Amino acid sequence: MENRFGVKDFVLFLLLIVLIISVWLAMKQYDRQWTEIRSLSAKVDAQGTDIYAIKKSIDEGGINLTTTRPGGGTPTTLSSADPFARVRAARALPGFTAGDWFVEGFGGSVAKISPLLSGDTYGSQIQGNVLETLLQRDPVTLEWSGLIAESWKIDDNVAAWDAYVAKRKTVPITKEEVLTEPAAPPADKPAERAAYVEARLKEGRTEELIGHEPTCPPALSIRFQLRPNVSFSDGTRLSADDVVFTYQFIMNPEVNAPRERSVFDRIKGVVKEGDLAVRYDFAVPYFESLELAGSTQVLAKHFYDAYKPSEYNETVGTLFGSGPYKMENPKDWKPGALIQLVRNDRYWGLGPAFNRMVFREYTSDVPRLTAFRNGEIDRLSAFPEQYDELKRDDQLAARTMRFEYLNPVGGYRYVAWNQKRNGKPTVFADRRVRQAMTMLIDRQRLIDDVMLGYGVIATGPFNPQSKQYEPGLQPYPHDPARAKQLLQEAGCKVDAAGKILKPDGSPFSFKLTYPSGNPNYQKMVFLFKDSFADAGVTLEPDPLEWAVFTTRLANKDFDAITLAWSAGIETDIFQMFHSSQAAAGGDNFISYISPELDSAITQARRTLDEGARMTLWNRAHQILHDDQPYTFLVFPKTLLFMQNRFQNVQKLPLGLNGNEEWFVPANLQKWKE
Amino acid sequence: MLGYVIRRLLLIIPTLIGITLVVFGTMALAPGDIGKNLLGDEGSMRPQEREAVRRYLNQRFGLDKPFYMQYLRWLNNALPLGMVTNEKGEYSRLAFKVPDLGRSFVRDRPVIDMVADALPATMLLQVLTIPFIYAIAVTSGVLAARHQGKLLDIGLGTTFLALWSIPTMWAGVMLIGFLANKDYAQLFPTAGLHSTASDRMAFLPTFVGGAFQRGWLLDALWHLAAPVLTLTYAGFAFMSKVMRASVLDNLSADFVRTARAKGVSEPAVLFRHVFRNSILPLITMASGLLPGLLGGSIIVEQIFSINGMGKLSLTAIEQRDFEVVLSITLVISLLSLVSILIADICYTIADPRVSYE
Repeated sequence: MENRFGVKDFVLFLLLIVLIISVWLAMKQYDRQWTEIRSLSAKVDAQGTDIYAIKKSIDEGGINLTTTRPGGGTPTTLSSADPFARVRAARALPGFTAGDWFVEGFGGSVAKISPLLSGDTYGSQIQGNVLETLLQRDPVTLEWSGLIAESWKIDDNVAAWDAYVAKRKTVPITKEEVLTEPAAPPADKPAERAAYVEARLKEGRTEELIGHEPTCPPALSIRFQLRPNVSFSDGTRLSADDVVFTYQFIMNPEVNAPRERSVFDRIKGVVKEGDLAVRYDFAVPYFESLELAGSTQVLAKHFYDAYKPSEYNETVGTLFGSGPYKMENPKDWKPGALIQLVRNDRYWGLGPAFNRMVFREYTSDVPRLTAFRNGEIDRLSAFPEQYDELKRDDQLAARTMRFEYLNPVGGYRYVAWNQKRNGKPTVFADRRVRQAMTMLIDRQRLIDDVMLGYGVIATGPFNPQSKQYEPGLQPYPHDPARAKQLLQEAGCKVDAAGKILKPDGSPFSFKLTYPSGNPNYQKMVFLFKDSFADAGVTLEPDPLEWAVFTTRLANKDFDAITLAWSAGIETDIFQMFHSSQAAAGGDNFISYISPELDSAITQARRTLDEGARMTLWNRAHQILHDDQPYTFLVFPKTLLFMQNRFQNVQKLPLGLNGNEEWFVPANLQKWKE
Repeated sequence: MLGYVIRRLLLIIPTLIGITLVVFGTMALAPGDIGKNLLGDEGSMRPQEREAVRRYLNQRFGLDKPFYMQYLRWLNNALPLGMVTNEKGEYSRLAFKVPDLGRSFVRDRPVIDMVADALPATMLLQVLTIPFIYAIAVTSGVLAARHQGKLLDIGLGTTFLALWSIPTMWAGVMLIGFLANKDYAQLFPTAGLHSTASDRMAFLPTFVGGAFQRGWLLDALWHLAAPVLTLTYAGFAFMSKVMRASVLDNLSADFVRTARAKGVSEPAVLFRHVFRNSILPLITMASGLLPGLLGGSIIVEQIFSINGMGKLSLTAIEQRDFEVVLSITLVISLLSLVSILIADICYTIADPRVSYE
């Protein structure tokens, strides 16, 4: 008999496979139950500990629920109000009920959510719910108020610091000192190293260097008094040790946090002054010192200290903190798995209404839009085209609410005119030419046609809602006639065909470089091309892939580029516009040099008094407007849709109010535990 | 035969080095660098941090070293035989070692870990898709050959050609836009492999308080339906044509006429004689399966928001994360070469006339 693989064998084979799969599935299910039981028993344990603590407090004479410390403590110049006043008000609203979930839809996938390592907005949005900072900005007044810290005090020591710096500046710097600087090229590149040493010897001691000398008095110190009742989500108290640890962790050169370190470089040290008192010493006077110290998310020493830096760098989902939400398992998340936060039941403050925050990832637009239509995700940030399309949809309008506003921390788009290429000044080195370029661009049409009306004309790098913004400035109008006149004043000629010629007689044409793959930039550039052509100037669109784009930027190898910068409530423009940053690798890639602006920026950066500083920033804004190193185009508006089962969603000066103030009335709740 | 196999196996080594060299050369020659990683979202840059990040990456991963040095270092790590380092981190001697696929400098993780995260989703999709493609292709191919020139043959041919011509990108988007949309027909979910509440579900379908709840397993299958459909619909057209041609060839062969003449029933002729002889081309095509299993589909994974191998490779290429790109290339080319070899060996088993002596 021939040994053949027949139908009977096939059926047997199939049965075997089914059996194996069933066994595997059963194991999988058992595993799921096991995880569930483990998390239940962890919860019971935690509750037991809490009950014990409550009982102990009662036995010892009452629970202290107030956030203010009874007497004593360090003298404070600024004390803060109740950080949960707004949550309290929300809870008092009629219909307030705890429960339901909030499901966010991300427009991309999340690779890491470990603090310091994530590097994208998705990561920081998740972390914002789990980690907390010493201070927070009041969403209405935009002033700082205490969160983990109940009070703080700034010691201005600039006079003593100035005296020390002035004395030290007279001492010449030595070669050995230069070679220990982190920016010094390594020993295997002798040529670069020699050049660096030479440049540095000429430059001498910088203020930053002197500020970090151990004998130098700190330029300013900020003392924070922490609240005594702040605890992490496992019940451990948050103390000054955690704040000091956070600083040391970030400054550890082995931790993959160079972004944070580049900013933290201004801090000389963080000192524990008591269980609940810390002092930040700054090496240089810097206007954002309070923000820097106050807005750093505090990491738990007992949790993160267990990792070696190299181990920590490899983690993806290690997220643990004192915030209103927590990861159910703070170590286990892997890319591709569902990201969800659960309410921190042991939160030290007034917790949020939602039981869960879920973050879903959508790597393309149609599914995200469809998911929002279906009600699978609760919030959608839309592009202008999407926003307009969804706005017209009556069915959708009935079940959603929408918000359009200028985000105070949103960025601006610009066209940057390169003033120096291959060591030679370009045609854009003349201020009149740059002003003419701005007048040739119809920014209102850009907003109307490309951004569908959702934007505000920019006159400078500062947000119109910021105090840095000089309100007296009027944007240059779209005025081709005046532009031509300006070009002629700058030495350009007009030929018989109406084409503009550069002062050297060649036709006025330039390449506008922009990142490819973004239809928005594409439309924008073609719009510009038309209006320049009308005026007799040739604009050649030059789309480049990101990676290439940045190389060209670093080499200053372009005529003009268009891009966007992010901005803050108070923005530091040093990197983009200070002349020192025109050197290789700096972000003043257009080689714009204005001594007047330099002095305004330098002054403003070291002025701690807000009023005086704003005057300087306003002046800087005026100079930038007159000089037009960039044509500042537009501040795009934030466009949001939200399902309307959520109540108490308000638009405040700082954007939408925090999600801890939102709630869903009991009859509208969608997700039950 | 054994000598042939050994020769082929040895040939794989220079081929692989050649492949990775070409891939690396293309990446090195292509303009641009790691810049993309230094940018924020939507093309805005956070000015203060860029230089610090660049310096850190250069120092930690040697990204400022010459390209050939970067390639040699990666190659040395990836090979089972190479230079090993001593305590001081200097290359000291030649030895056998565990191959190391390198690290992603963007994510600061070993490539192998990233692959371990991405592989299950891709494998799941492909393991479900491939049997469908084969079943449909083989059945339709045989049917079309059996009814050659009739309405069924022409109908199948036209339909498959039409399906094959629909771009996956468009089909996927339409599928989600209309068939996953509450306003039209919500037959499929919009994205991912699980529902938002899937971890709260029971494992098998149940009735909770009279309401049907599909359970974790069914939920996962439901999420897989649309991506599998998209992966499948275009896959069988080509294979079906090949199968049809092969069956037709054999139907007109002498041994079939003999079989019919001696009175073998028509189904037996078709399945016992013709079919067995017609699967040879399928073996050739099967050699593409294994690498396909691992490589995944960039487009489908992107549309359906699935974090799989296709997505991993695409991101790595965009970010010029060269160790990730090289290691994935290495693994997939190795599998392709091995599959081709296996296919070649299978020929000798399926058809005794083939010999490599």
